[in-house]
Amino acid sequence: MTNHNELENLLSAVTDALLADERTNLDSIVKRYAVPRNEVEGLVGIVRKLHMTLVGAQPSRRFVNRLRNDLVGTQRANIVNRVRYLPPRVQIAAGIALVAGFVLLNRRRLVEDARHEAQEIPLLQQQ
Amino acid sequence: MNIFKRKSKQPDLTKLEDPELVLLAKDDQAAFGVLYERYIEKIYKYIYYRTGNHQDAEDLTAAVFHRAMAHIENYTERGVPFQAWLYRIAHNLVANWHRDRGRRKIIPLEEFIGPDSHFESPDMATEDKEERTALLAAIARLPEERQQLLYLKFVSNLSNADVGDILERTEGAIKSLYHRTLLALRDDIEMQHTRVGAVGRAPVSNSDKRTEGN
Repeated sequence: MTNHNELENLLSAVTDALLADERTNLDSIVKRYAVPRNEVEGLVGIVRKLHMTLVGAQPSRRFVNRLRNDLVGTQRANIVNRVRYLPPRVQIAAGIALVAGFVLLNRRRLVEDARHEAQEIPLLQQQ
Repeated sequence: MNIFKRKSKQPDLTKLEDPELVLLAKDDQAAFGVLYERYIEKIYKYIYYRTGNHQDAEDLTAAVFHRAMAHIENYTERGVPFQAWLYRIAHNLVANWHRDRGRRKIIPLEEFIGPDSHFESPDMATEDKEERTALLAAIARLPEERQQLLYLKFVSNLSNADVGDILERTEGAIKSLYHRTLLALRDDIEMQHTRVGAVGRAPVSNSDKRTEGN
């Protein structure tokens, strides 16, 4: 009586070998298992036929490209994505420049406001 | 030194494994693009065999990837690898497609048959083609899960472990199911051969469809 596990392992091994390389010598694999040859031959023949018959249908390149564009082709120019891959030093420098710019702009506005106030006070005093 | 060379630190996404790419793909479309390139052909082939025509295969493949992209933020591996997750989406969409149309697969068998091998005589070539046609007809009579198993193994070229992830079974259970599927195919072909006397000429009808369990 054939050990079912042995036969299952054999069929899986034969299939994997055939799918990996169709020139594989399947006999050498079959010999490794304690399964009577007459029980295996018909099934290995079906595995071979399946391999020859179930060949993949390729999607057209046009379809693949079109779908790719639909999915990821319209990627926004995301500033986070752009900054992410900058060298760390540049990221730090960019951060400092950003903060410094913000501070300068605010400071300038404060100075302008102070100047306006300084000009308005004498006018009020004259009135 | 060009410190503004923007992509100098960008990792080669194509070298990353699926789990890393999935994490990146949650907010980086380029990473999703790599996953797309990795699986588009496999998913397409699988759907093509299950629908039987290119137009529906394209529509459903597009739906699979749109759905995957929409839900990738919520995807966490938890024992279901990304590949298995994609195939499960594909399986569900194909099942819905069959249900919505209320029909069985109409498969132009000739289209599925691989390229002819080189035979010494036209008779041998004809016989080989008839055998392959009979085999496809026998596959079409198998229960759904067994057909799926064969397509995943032979069309998508997946290992038993990967098939197990998709069908939610152990690797051992897949080996066993595969063995039983081959036996069923062999018996079916022999039966058809005996019945009509010529392999592959038996019509495929619903009454022939097996209803046995797995």
